[in-house]
Parts: sequence; C-alpha cells; structure tokens
Amino acid sequence: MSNEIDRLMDEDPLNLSAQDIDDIIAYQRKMKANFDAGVKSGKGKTLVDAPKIDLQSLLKASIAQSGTPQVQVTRRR
Amino acid sequence: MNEVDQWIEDQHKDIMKDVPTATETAAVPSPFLPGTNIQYAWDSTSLALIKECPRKYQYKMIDGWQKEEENVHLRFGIEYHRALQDYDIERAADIPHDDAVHDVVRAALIRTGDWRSDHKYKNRNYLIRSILWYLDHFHDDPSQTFIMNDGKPAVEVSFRFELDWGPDEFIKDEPFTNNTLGERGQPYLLCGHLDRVVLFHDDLFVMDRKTTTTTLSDYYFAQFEPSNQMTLYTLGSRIIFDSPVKGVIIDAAQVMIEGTRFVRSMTYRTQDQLDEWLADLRYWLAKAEEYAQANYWPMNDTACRMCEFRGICSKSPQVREKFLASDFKKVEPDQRWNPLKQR
Repeated sequence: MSNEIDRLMDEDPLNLSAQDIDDIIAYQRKMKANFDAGVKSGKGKTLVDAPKIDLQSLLKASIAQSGTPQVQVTRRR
Repeated sequence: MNEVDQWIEDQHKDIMKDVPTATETAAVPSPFLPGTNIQYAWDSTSLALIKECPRKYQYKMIDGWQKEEENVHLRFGIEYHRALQDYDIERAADIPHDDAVHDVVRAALIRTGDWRSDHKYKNRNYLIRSILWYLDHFHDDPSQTFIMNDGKPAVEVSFRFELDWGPDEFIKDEPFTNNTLGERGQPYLLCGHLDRVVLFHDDLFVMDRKTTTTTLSDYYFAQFEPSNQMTLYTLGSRIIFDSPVKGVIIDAAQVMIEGTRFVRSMTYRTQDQLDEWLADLRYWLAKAEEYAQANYWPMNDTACRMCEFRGICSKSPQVREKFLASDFKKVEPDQRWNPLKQR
C-alpha cells in the first residue's frame, strides 16, 4: 500500500474529506484491476532485491554453444 | 454527520426498528427454558453445534467458552455485512453505484476507526478492500433485492417461527411472563437472519455472504449441500415470504494477502428435502433435551479434526477446566450466542 493511502487509512476517519475517500477507492480499484489481471502487488514479492536474469535465454545460449549434448550409451557388462 | 450519512442511518433505523437496541439487548429472553439447560429457541449456529458434537455445544452454548480470536472474525463479519447491507439499501433507493460505494466506504471507515486487529487477514485494511472489491465485482449483478409488501428492501431480514411441538418437560406452572410466548406451553422456535432476499431470473433466492481464508474450490462449496444452515434459511424464507424460495445464493469472499477473491455458488432445496430436514429436527431436538435433562453432553470424538476444543478434549478430564480457563474466556450469559438476539 502506498504511503499516501497508509496515511489516509491511519487518519481519524472523521477528518477524511470526500476527495480522501475517493483516493482510497481509486487506489483499491487499481489494486483490484491488477489482481484481476494477475499482476502481483509489489509488497511481499521478494525478500531481497537482486538483478533479474533471463534463465531461459542463458540456457538456450549454453546449449547453442556446446551443440546438441552427446549422450554416451554404456552397457553393463 | 452529513445529509447522506443521516439518510443511511435513518434507513437503517427504519429497517432495524423492531430490533432491540444495545440498551435493550439485556432484556432479550434466554433461549433456554427457565431454570433448565433445555433450549427452546434454535438457530442454525446452535443446531450445528448440537449436531456436530454435544460436548462442543455444552462448551459454547451452556458454559459460554469463547476464543479471543473469535472477536476478530465476528467484527470483520459484522462490518462486512453491515456495509453490504447499507449498499443494498441505497441501491434499492436508486442511488447510483459510485455514490453508494463512496457512502458505504466512508461509513465503514468511520465505524472501524477504533478497530485495531493484528490478524493476518481479518483486519481493517482488508475489510475495506473486501467491501469495495465485492461491490465492484457484483456491480452488474442480475440479482435484484426483493422489495417486500411494505415497500422495504429485503435486506437483513430476521425470522422467527414456532414449530408445532415443544420440549416435553415444559412445566405449565412456571409460565413465561412474556405473553407472546403463548399459554399452551412453550413450543420450539426456529430463528434466523437472512442477509438479503433477491429476485434472480424471476425466482426468489436467499443471498448469503461469507468471508473466509479458505480456497474457494468445489470442496469449499460442498459444505453447503447438504447444509443445516442453508436448509433452515430456505425453510425460513419460504415461511416468512409465503413463496417458493428456491434456495440460497452464496457469495463467498476469500480474503488473501494479495487480494480478495469472490466466487458465487447456488444451492437448491426441494420441498421433500425441507420435509426430511424438519423430520430429522424432531429427533435432534429430542436428543438435545435428553442431554440437558441428564446434564451430560457426550463427546463426538469423530468430529474433532477441525474443532477449536480439540486441545481441551484431548486432555484428561480432570485437567480440562484448567486448560479451558487458560486458552478460552468465559463470556457473560447475556453476551453469549442467543438465537433470540436479533442483529
């Protein structure tokens, strides 16, 4: 939740203006739209910030460099 | 209080005028026959308890043990229902959706201004979110609030009706001072509270709103078919509206960290199912009376898995009272669950 909405939610509700209520509603509607679209909220997503890497493309590059992996077939004697 | 708040409050008061106020609730009669533990006024909650486990019924209904956490769930549920009820009242008066949402959110924020809950899910932020998301989610709902003969919207409708039999042990020389309770002896009463009654594709349905942290799957909705609560609601609504109410629409809200999810489900009851439920009820109430007369409520040890008293019943009988006192609180008789206490 954004700091501004946090502040409004902590405010004495009797002091909230009509605009403040509309801001809370607008924020929640945005959150609902994100939720319905499958977008995760920023909060609680990761514990530590770290650069993102594209594992799929790294794997593809690695396979392309080494060619098709050769599988040695051995027989039990 | 501005004009809109005053209007909502007036509408609420008008609808709830027959409901005792906070100062009057102390005068709500006991659901038990005087001087006994024989319950004559039943609702779905107390019936579910006696059907599930007589010992659990004893702990909650007779002795009044309650978990501290229950208050959080109760408050969340009360505020959620009150907000949706206010919205239904405004919409029935043709107030536009966005205006009604604004009023309801504002009123909910004010009512819960002093509410501090550390619960992971049942807290103020998630309450406001759940209210708003529900109202937007069902904005274009084809179901419409049923307008009763007196012109009022059928929201938060309490019902109470007599059965044609009563506890056998009713003593006629100890009559009730309240004349409305009858002279021929106290019959059993069935009581309940309907969130809303709606017209859905020309049929009448009760609408029941649930909040849960459980995943809303087929497994979740399976609990409502068969269901003591949903059958009683269908029966009660058929009697008070004198109309063939088809069943119950269940709007469930799953409160999660990342959002609140809504799923609607329907459950139907035929007349034969209602008749069977009533026939069974005769046996259940007779059993409850038998336990009360013996002052012994046996444990149903096949129903312990999800029970809040599992930790108590698993202890030796001699030490149970000590564990109850440390893990639960005993609420005063007038604060205990009472089917006669209207919301």
